Amino acid sequence: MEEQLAAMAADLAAVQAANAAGNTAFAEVYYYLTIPIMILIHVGFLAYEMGQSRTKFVLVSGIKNILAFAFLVPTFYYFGWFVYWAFPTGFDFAAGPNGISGWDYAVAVANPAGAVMGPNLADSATGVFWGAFTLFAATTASIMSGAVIERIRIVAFVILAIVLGAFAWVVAAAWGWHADGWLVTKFGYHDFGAAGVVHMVAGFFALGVLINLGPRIGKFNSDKSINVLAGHNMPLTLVGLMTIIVGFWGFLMACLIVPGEAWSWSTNFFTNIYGTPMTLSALTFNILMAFAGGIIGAWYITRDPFWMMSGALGGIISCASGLDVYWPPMAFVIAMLGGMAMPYFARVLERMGIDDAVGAVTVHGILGAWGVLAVGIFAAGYPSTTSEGAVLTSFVGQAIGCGVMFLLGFIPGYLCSLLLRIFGILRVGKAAEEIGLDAVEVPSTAYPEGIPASHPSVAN
Amino acid sequence: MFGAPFDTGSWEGVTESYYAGAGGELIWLIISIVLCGVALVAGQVHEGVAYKNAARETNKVDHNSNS
Repeated sequence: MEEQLAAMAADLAAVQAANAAGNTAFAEVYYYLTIPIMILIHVGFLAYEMGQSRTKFVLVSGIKNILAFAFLVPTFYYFGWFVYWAFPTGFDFAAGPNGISGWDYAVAVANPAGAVMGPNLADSATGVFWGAFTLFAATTASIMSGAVIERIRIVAFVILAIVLGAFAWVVAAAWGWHADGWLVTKFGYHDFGAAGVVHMVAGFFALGVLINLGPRIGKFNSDKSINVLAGHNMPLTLVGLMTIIVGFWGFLMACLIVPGEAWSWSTNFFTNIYGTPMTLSALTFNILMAFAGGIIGAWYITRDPFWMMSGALGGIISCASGLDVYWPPMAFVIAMLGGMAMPYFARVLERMGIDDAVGAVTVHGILGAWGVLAVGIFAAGYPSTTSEGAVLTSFVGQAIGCGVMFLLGFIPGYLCSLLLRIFGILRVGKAAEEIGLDAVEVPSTAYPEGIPASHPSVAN
Repeated sequence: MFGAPFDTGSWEGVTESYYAGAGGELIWLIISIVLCGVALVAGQVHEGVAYKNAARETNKVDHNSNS
């Protein structure tokens, strides 16, 4: 009998070990697969921005996107990941209530010269988490990228992308997208899908840059009338926007925490980044309803396929903060309102003399703000974390978060681009802009045999 | 210094970090950071020259059309 019990205990231990190994492998593969899906965001931005460029700027727009991605990878390794773990309680670098933040913790889990940041058999999580966050970081740079096409210097753009992607949004994420973040623990800030920490920060960073960069030559006339500088390939733009939507599935999938690991919040269910419970099923309902609501809202107002597909993005961003808790038809309505409002805000910005070539400030900045506030309006009252006595989500908490996200985006964007402008390295030369940047600084040609079927306007 | 971090001749007992470069992480970190900086400076120079050439070409065309 004792032998049988011992044998059963051994079998049970073996089954438990195999189950744990299987769960660890699942968790590692789960985050690993979010990365190529999120790379589709960058495929999409590449196509979208090249399509929105005039023929003489196509390749330079593409180069910008490629370099943003390339430089964000090492810089997020050097310091972005460290900032995320060091900054949650503010600039004092103290440990937060959950004990997963502060300077010492960051040194342990994110030291770029430490053993956790490389191949390590004792750690199946750091690399894939870092990779997913790196793709979030690269996404912020791509958001800014479209707004500034056709007149920003490539190196200036890369510097701004590094400031945004490896620092500004990371501070926002540490404060509002981390269970120890002070916006969460003190004000109950809730931002499941990063409407504030990614979209708002990137959108308003872009606004700060646009103010210093100025409009493209020919955008505004002396009588304050506005010209349409149409991109050369709307179909490419539309496919790009749809590809970004595909990538969003990876982005939002990576916002969940897999159960059953030492670093998990739960042993048996998915949670969001704050540790509160949710399901992939809930996410699926609400992403698709938001996607549809955004498109229909934009179609209702504009009848324009560019704004319809931007509306798809805008719809998801409008619902992003509360995708884990909304009732799907409510998500549809919130998204539709965002899709309907978006073209109006784009026109207001244009009338203010801001030349945002793709509507990034509106889609990401303004609808990101709507997304953050929407949680306070439609989903107040949830405990923000699973800690005893956790602060409840509220409109005031979301409004405070909204203000912080605006400042974390706009101030660094404005100041850094101002500095680059003072040094004379922000904007390309007038002659180069008139000739077209592809001819001036790219050794290859986008369309060596021309585009015979193009509309005459692309000859601008 | 730059080879395998263990010299047992076997993977037996290897349970933690196993990357080449162990013991010299900081050197590679610094080299890679410097290379990023060099690439940016070279890019800046390339762009500056390209825009100057574009301005020169434009002035030449303007000059020729005026004369």
